[in-house]
Amino acid sequence: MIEIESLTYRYPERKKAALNRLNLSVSEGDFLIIRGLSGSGKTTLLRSVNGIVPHFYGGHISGSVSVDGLSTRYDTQQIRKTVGLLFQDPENQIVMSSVKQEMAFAMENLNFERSEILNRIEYWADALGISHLLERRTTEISGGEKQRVLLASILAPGPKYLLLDEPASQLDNTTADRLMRLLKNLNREGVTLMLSTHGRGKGNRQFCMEGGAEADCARLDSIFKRKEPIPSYAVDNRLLLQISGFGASYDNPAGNRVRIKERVINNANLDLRAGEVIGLTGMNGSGKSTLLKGIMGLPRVKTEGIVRVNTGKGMAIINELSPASRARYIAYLGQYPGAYLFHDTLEEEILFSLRNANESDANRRIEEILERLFLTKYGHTNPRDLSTGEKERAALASVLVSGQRIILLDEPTRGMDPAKRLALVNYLSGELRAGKGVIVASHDTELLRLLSADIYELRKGEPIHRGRYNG
Amino acid sequence: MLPVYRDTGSRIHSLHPFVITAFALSVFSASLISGNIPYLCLLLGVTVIVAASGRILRNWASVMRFALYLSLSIFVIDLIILPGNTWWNIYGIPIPVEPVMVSIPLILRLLVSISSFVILSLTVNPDEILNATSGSKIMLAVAMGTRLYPLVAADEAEIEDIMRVRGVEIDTGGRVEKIRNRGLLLLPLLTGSLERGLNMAESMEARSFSERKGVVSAFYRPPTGYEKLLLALQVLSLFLVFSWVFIPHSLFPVLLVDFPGIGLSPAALLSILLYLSVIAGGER
Repeated sequence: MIEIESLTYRYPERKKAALNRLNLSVSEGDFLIIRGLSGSGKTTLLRSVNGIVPHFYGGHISGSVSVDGLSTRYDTQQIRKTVGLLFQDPENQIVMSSVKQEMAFAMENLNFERSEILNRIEYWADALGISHLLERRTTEISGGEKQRVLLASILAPGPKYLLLDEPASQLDNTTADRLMRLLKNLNREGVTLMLSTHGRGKGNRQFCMEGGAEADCARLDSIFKRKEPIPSYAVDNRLLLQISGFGASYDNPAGNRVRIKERVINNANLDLRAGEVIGLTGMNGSGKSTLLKGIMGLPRVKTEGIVRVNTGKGMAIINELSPASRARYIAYLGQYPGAYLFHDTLEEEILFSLRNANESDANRRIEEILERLFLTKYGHTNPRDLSTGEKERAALASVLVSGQRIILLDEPTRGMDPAKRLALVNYLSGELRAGKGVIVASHDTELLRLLSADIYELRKGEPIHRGRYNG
Repeated sequence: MLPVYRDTGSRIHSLHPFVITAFALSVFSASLISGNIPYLCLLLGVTVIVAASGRILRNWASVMRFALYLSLSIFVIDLIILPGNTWWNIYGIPIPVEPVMVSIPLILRLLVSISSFVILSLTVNPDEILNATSGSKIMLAVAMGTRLYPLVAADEAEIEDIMRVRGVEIDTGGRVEKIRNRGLLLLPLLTGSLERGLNMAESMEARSFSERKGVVSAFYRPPTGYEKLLLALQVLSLFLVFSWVFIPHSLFPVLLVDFPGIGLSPAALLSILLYLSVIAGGER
């Protein structure tokens, strides 16, 4: 049993408490869903059960957390033998180079016998459908596969309690459903689960959080209530981007042991018109990101076929242009917005792009773009201190400086809660009304519904038109 | 993109990691001990042969190209700052002899050192180093750093793409412009790596890393007798070079006295042959 009593915790050098007089009791066999918006304290709560908070982070703590009668203040090492914790971003959790080493890591730390380690690896690899990955390097596998490898690594020592921090945030719908079924089975077999999520989970109990304390779930429900999609602004039929006979491949993807040419996109044809949103969907690894990178002409993606853009003076082929030159017509935001932000203030960040684009009247343009992205008050803030949703918009501001009319977004709502997603939709709605066009690659069906996106599903490298998303 | 380990299918890639590690360390140490120009040239030749037999010449050359630029700059700086009493006249240009004779061994040492460690990083699977060293917690933590290398290489490629889409022409322009633009990658690369390091440490802690005590990896393969022999030969090579440089030649004249004309002793030549033993490789 997990008992949390009057827990208050503040991270070092933070004024505000991340957890505030929190009380929670989790019985054996529970499947508890912890709900809340970004910054509500869900992750900190999970960290406190495993003892990572406060032992790894430091900070100020009061109240108590106990697992099976053992206090996280004094008995952390004992507790970690029974409590497994899976964080949100798999990329930053994998510590070993190969899949089987990653799976063995926790068991080796806990001094399991060699034969036992090998047996458990085989069992959990089979249970999670990753047996075919065992000989692969962790740099070679997709985000969804990494998530499953980490889950296997945490389950292999046989934890009694499993804590999961938004485990489905980077998975496609099919893989996310498979994960939920697996978790339910584990729960039936006696593993107690605590799972944090922005949305509604399918556990047997829920616990809602806001500002580090317990919150009324009805209030959260009202935020999560289904919103009406924006109208379609594709009115004047003006073509902005056209790709035809487009193919893309990777020549020897990084880290592969054997030199290979991996073909990802075949014969793609797409027309993007002013005011239109095209939604690219498909399983993890189906080529959504590759298609966007290929349109931008990024060098690691080898492309064929023709890319035309509306330059304002008519349609022009841009195949021969460098990515930096294409950036005059196309704004592209990849999956890791944090990596776009490295200046001391957000204004400097935008100024950097303006200088590269040789744009004049910098101050006015900075003001304008910050206002359009609801970021005016953060102009002098260090962009790395912004929240996930704000970072996404800040990164967008850094690529949208030239008034490009084509916007490419790759998984823009990763880690965003519904409120922040809605803010992004509102921003994009303004851009669409102004005659811009958006191609968005996403697993987030709610985002695609809200944007009234015209859906193309990538299957075997070909975009198949599925029509407008209707939820 | 920085070159990373890839199994090219060569026999060198199938050797126990300690053999190539011993080779790299021994060649590196020999280059530090000896300032003999013909010997350093032979050592460099050994690393080229090993790189070729490991089928990594292309990646090896891409790193060595930068080492060569660095060497040239050392050479030019030496010519400028070191005093010279004797001069060569080459096509009417006076070249000071002493700075040239000082900088050539320095440059050769640098090239041999970099070359040996490039071979190490391109032919030794980081997983196997990890398996072999996981008994020591400190060594394990150090070896885990090798996991960061491909990640940093991937991050570098990602940041390059980000710079491109933000309008930076990193692939065109002159050499100075390219270097300046590449410099822009450093800050985001550093901040990203620090953040990643912190997250990985948290993940390790959550999986009881602090509990780990002297556990050898479940996947560790001990060296075979043959590999132990190769390893011993690398140590013996270093011993021969050490003897040649530091032990009075009159004690072992047959082994240590240089052949007239070439400035190399039988011990030095034997050490070169023993270094080359690694090209026999392991079993496939």
